[in-house]
Amino acid sequence: MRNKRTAALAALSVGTLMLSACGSAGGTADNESEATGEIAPSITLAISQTPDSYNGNTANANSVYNTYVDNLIHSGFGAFSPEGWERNEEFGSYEKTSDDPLTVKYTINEDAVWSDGTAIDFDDVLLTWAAFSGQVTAGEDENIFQPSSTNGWSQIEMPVGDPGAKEFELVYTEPYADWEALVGGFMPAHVAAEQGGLSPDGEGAELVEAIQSEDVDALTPVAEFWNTGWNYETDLPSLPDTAIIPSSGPYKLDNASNGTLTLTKNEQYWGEERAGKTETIVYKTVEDTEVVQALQNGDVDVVDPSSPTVDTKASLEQIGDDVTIETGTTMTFSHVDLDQREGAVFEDIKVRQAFAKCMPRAEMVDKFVTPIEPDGQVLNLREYQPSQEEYQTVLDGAPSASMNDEVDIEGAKALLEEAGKTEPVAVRLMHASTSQLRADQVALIKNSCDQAGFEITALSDPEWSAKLSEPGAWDAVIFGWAGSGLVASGESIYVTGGEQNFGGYSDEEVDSLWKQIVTNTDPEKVVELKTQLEERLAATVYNQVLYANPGLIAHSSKVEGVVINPTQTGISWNAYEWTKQL
Amino acid sequence: MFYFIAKRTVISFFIMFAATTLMYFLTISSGDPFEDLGETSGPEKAAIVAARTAALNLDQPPLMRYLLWLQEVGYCIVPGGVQCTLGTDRVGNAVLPQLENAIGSTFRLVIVATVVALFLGVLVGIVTALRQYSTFDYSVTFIAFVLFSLPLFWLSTLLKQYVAIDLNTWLANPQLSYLAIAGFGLVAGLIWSVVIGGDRRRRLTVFGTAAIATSVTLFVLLVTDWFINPALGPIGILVASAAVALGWVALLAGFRRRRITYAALATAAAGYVGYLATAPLMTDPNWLIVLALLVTTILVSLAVGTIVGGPYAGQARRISVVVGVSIGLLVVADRMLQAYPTLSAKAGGRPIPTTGSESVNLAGNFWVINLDYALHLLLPTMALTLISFATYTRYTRASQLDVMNQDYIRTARAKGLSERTVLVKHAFRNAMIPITTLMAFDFAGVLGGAVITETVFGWNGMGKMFVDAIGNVDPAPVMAFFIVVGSAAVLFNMLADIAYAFLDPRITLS
Repeated sequence: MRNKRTAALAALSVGTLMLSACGSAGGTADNESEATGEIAPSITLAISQTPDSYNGNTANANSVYNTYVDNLIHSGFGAFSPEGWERNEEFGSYEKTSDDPLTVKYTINEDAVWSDGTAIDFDDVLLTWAAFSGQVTAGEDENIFQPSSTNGWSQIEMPVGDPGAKEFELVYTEPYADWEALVGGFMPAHVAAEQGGLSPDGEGAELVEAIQSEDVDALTPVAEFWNTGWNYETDLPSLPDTAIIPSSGPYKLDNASNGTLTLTKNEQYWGEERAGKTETIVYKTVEDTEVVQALQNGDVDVVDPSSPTVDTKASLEQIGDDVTIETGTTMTFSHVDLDQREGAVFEDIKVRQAFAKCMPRAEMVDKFVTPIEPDGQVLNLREYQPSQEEYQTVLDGAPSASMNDEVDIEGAKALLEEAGKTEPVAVRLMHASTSQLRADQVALIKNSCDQAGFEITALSDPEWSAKLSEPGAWDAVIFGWAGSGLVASGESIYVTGGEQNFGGYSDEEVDSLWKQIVTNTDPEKVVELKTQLEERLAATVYNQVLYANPGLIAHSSKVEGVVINPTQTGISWNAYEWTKQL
Repeated sequence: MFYFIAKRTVISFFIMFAATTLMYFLTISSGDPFEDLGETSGPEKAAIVAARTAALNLDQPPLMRYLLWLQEVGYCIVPGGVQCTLGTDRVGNAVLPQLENAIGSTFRLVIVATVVALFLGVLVGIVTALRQYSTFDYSVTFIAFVLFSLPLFWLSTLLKQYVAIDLNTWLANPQLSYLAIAGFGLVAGLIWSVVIGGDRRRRLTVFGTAAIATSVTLFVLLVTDWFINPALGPIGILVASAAVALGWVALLAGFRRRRITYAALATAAAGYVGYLATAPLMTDPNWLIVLALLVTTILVSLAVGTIVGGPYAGQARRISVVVGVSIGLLVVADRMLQAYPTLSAKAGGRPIPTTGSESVNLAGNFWVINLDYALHLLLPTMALTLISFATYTRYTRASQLDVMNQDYIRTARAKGLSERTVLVKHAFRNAMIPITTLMAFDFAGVLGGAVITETVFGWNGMGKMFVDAIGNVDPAPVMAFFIVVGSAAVLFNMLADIAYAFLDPRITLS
């Protein structure tokens, strides 16, 4: 019995196997749809945090995720493209008419209108000035607006003009190096006026009058609206009434649900070059760890993970030809800051130099950068990144900056000896406890520098960022700075007593160079001054820069026009050009 | 009873109060609220620090911050004047609307998963108890523990790969080799043969029947392009209705009482006629129509049960309602399947998403939109169900085994009752008592959301709100979460105690 059954079963299995050799059931003959040449009505972009405000210019809402949306719904006189600052002639033009006092004349395009039809003109500009200048104050210097920063604008005199004017002039009380990138962030003044209880009629005459006559009582409700009235609800379950969020860009806000934001083409957009090509752009909130599968499944078309790892790239590459990957270096760079206050470990410049000599930078680049961005390299400058054209020029002009390209353990030993250190120099190297990357890097540094006569202890701290400004809490700290491409933004890191000068570095020459830089409005002169600055910072070993963090974007191969952008403008800087084949 | 509830309420209030105090101080000392600004330089940083300090009252000592938060809660309890916001988060947004959204999202996500897990878990638990120490029992125990010990983020990655990405690709051009079809048949045969059990001969018969039936069904579905244009169709519904009616009778009453079988079949017939008659109404209904039809179905079923049931009207009514509602569900499933080609086309040929809770800008009829919801629920529900499945099967199995060894079961058998009556009426009911407690706690837990699942699948629910807020050291949302979950735990605990007193006469509340 048993044998018979077994035999029958075996025969059955063999039979099945034979059958399997001849084909399969189901399937359609014409499943491969040929590219039709038509473009899809919608492209979805994954972002890792939900945008939280229409007005990304306030202190609370000043995040890169709002910028991703702002790129398409707000226009200004220019923006940072991958090539640097780029004028937006469609919105308007500007020219510097005087250096002393610095005066810039702006002309807004005649056709420029908000998506509700209201002209973009003087009241919008004046409201922006009122919000950013910090000069509209109630009582004792209390700014009724909460702008992300008053830098630059606080040096501008109140613009003079009439309601409805398309031309205006900004006069600076003292020169400001970043004047080009400063002017922007225009919010619809007619909406703010109406919501603040002023009449929007007559091209915003009431609001203009209130600002010009410094009528703080009338402006307070307007300011309150400017500060919070444009905020979305947390996690974006819906949008505010679309009447109060008109657009000045190629796309306008249409709807939102559960953290997904939809923009549609702005029919009122007057320009041609920046006019949207795809009907809708959708922003979908997806965790960084989940974007790869979302992209593979077609839930999203474009992804821009905020801190890509080697694994991110590997798993994207595994998907194959359906996905296109672009890599580059970002404006954020990693570095080790040194406590050089009196009595601190790195007070003696020789100890700092020795530490710089034993820093295994090339090894870090090999491990953490080139697997993502093959062209990644060791970073030698602080104010310029390899993605900027000036990098090489400045590096050539600052020989000290390239002094420590190779690890030199013997040199470091000699320097420590010269400094009179006979015992190993104990260094507490702090890093963010949440970052495995930093922990790995600290291990590499310990490996190399302990040979040279240091004794490194890793100080893994969840409150590292609060401890940065605590003197004595650390001897060295490894973290990143987000560069901005702006001329003056680094000042507080390097000048004596600067807010982000955590190591207590102080150098007269550096201080005086910064003073010249921040008031210099000539880009060429700035490069020259910064070359001297870089030389001095490297010679006195302000800190040890490591590398520019690698960046990565990926998109469905059907999408065309996506270009990686290392600046804070982000991936959506040219989203109006994106198209997706059906 | 009243005294018990009053006493518990007062005690619970003080427990909650003490717990919020502890929770608040734990939250604010859990990290640095400015951690994310560590790598920010430039003038914007100072403005953000100032704004956040103001929003979180960081210029106040911790005790004052706690009192300020209590004041905000007070506004919600004591009516009048000040708006109830439950405080503001770190960017100054009110927490209450955020909480409302999160609860809504969580309900949708977790309730389905809990119900499915409960249903499957109890079912499989009972079967494993009846087939104790069988291959099936061991296999389920093994699978349950494997699933239980899977980390959710990994399970979800697997699900996304196989159930979304690969299945979508397959659905675009559904075809299977004959070997694969046979393989599916063999697997199905194996499962059925161990579930049904019996002697060697019976197992082989079951195995053969199930394997061949599965393979043939798959083959027919494939060659008729069912996976491209799925539907049950009028014939499918007719067959399914009859099968459902007979199935429920077999399970709940047995065929000995003819009147009950007739009642179930009559309900099925009425249901089928209703399906044909309401077809125009069901092409694009709204929830109101669906609800009205459900109520009508139940009423008609009751009537049919009463009329046809005769002497067994009571039992016939219950079975009729079960049959009627089941047919209603079949009709809904049919409509959803019919909406599939439309939805698939709108989703670019990839209907099963890996992230999000709904497709945006989806213009479609009632069925398309609800199918979209269902497909978005598919992966997270599977993940949650697979993991909580283990708890329910193990509990039910243990409880059922315990009951099966009781004296009253032996008595019932000795009386000559059929095995089905012993199992369904005497054993199952008593086995459910401990499960009720488990359910009470589970539903309280539902409100807490599913932290990892929500994050991984892009749902803005309670769990995500809690985790984000903890990460930001932002006490107001954490406390809002805690109040809801804590109150639910306290409340359901009390309900479980009360339910116990009702279910088990040996327990009294005083």
